[in-house]
Amino acid sequence: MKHTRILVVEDEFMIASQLKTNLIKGGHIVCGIASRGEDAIDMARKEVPDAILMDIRIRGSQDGMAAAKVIRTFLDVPIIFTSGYADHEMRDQALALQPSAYLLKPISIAQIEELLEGDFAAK
Amino acid sequence: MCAYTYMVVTAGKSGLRRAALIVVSLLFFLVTLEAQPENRKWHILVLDSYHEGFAWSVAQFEGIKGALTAELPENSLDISVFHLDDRRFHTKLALTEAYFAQLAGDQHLDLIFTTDNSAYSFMRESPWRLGRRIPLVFAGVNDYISDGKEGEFLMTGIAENFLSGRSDTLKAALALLPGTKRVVFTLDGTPTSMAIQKEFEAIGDQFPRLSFDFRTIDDIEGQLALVSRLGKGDIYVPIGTHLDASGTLLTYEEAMERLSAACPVPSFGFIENRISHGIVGGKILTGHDHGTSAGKLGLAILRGAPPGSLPPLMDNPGKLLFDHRQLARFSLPESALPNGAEILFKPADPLAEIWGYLLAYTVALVVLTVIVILLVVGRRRLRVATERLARSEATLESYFENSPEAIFVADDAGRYLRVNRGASLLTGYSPRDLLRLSVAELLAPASVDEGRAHFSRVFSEGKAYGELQFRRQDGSIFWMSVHAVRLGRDENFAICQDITRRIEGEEGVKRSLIEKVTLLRELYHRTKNNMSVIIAMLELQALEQGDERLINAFKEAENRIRSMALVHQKLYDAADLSHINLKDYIRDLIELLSKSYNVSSTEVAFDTELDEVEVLIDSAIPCGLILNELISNALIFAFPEGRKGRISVSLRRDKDGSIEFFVADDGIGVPIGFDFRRDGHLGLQTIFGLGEGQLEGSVDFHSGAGLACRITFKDDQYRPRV
Repeated sequence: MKHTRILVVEDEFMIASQLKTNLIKGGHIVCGIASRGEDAIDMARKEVPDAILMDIRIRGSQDGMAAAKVIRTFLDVPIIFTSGYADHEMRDQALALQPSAYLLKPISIAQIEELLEGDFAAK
Repeated sequence: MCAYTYMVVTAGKSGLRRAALIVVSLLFFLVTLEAQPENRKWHILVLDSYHEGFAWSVAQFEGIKGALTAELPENSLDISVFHLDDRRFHTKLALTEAYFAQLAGDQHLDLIFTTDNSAYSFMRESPWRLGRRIPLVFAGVNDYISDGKEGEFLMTGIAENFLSGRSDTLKAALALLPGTKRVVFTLDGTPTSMAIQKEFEAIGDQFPRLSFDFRTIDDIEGQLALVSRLGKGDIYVPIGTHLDASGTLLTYEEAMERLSAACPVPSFGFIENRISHGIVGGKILTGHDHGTSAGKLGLAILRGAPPGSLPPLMDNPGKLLFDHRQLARFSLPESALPNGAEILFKPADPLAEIWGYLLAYTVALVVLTVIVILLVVGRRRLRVATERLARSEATLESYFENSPEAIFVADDAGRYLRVNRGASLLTGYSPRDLLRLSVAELLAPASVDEGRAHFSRVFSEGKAYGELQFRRQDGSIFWMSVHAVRLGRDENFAICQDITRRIEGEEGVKRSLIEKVTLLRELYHRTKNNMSVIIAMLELQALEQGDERLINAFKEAENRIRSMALVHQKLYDAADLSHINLKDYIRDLIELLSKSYNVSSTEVAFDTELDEVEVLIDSAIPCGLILNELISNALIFAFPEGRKGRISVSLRRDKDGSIEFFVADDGIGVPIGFDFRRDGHLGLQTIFGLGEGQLEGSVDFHSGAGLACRITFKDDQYRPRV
């Protein structure tokens, strides 16, 4: 599934850049990079991406999970949570929102490709 | 009731005879009255040879009576006494058989006693007695020789054959007076008197140096005249009675005293009436002993024994008795007395008596002194002990009251019974107010349940320690440690300390610890994130260069960083934040590297055999890097050109604590002659450097069908820091 328009929500610039580079290299379109929850909501509303890579812990008044909740209200696209934390509490909170996937950093582009070409393509 | 009647019969004196007849009649009348008893009654006659009041006779009678009443009830005995008065009237003995038969009539008698010779002589062959078959017991018959006809004459008794007594007396006299040559006797002509003379004549052979001079003189004046003429070498032995000028019989006692006073030489005797009244002493017979022996024989007859079956007692032992006053009068040495002799009238040693009193007084004085001393000492000790006790009580009270700890004493319902000043200061309540409260009322609501459980433990286990919250009078809450002990029923003792500061401090420490743990975890997370950023930078840099070799070099660097980042990931997850589980780590590393090199399990399969091994962060980083190199090498070089294969990874901890990695592949191996240390690239150098240099272990490569490497090290280079 090429040319997927992906919104990357990541407050770590270098990580966001790496993701963007690899996604573009993989033939996808990064329609925006947001580093705050509220920015992510705005971009999702404006860009209407095909999928969102959403870091859970980001700056701003709303974290990734809060932003995802809001985005869900107006946009029904796959949201892939990413997190550097392996603790169960956070993972359980995130999974309670029934994301399309929950990936633990470091994320390889292959994992994203697998999701985009596998599960999400069928939708 | 027993009727005793003493009757005097004097032959030739008609007035007396009539009087006697009247008395005897009265006696038999009384006996008749008494002869209708409900129980068995024994009618007994004592026929005495002498006269009423004669001490010897009285003693014998008392002996007879004593022996009978010792075994028979006194009210079953009817004893009458008949005196022949032989001493005074022996020359005119008038009691004939016919006269006696007339006196006695047909009266029933069960037993007759006779005392001394005259009565025995009269009664032995009395047709009146034998006709009625009345048994006879005689007492004190001198010169008695058994003819074996006792059974025929229905009699038995005790003889006064005092042969041994006579000789013992003479032996004692000779011991006291070795110069004695003649023994002068006075006799009265009675059968008794004559019998005694015979006895002395019989033993005369035993005393060859002595001559016996028997004089029959019964008047006292004649006897006095005789004894006053006695001289050196003589001793006097009075036998028989003493009559005054009017023919009146003197008592032995009176006569003996007069004779002794008149006699210049020592007198000796045999009967008790004379001892104590002038004789020096001798083997003494007592009338009471005679009577007792006769009474016992009579008792046996009353109980059914035939008189003939009771052989007469032929001798009487008597007692060796001496009068100290007479010994002293004649300067006779006590030391010469025979063994067993008793000395009468020996005065007590006055000095000994004084000494005795003195000793008694001294002992009493000492005892009293000791008692007084003990009382004084005891009282002083008591006073000291009381004072000490009082001081001790005051001290303990002071300890209780001034203890910096709060002390509470409560009953089983939790009501306070006693509290100290510390308790008052701690709670803010006055002691009086505290004594109106209970434990439950003082507990803070948050500690009520725990407080109840604590109190229950005190009951069940005898003591308990707890840390509970209480409420002061002003409502503020504070913590107390409570060391409680059960003293007894309804008494529980607790020492309490304010631990509010400590509890707050501990809570601060706990909070601080949680904060530190959170920070450390965050630090691990940040470190890992930073490594992710570094990886991203390297990757971006590599992509920008576009050089395949450079990209691969960057990738290797990335993977090295990832393997380190994975350690931090695991530390972040670790419960103690200092150890990681190598087994989990290796699994995650294999997955990570497989993704990195885009190798699927269908191309290269992993076989893992991993023990549960935990290592500190210091060992974990080099372990991770070594494993990264070994697995990466296998993935990059072992299976070129799409070749399929297997990589085995095992992890083991030996019993000695050493840890072993083993990574092997079935790939193409290395060229022949390849020197791992010399020819190896950076990855191999890293393995040697870390394995041998940093972990101080061994690195062993083996190439055959594929390549295998074994790393062994001990995880003892580092110590936990917390």
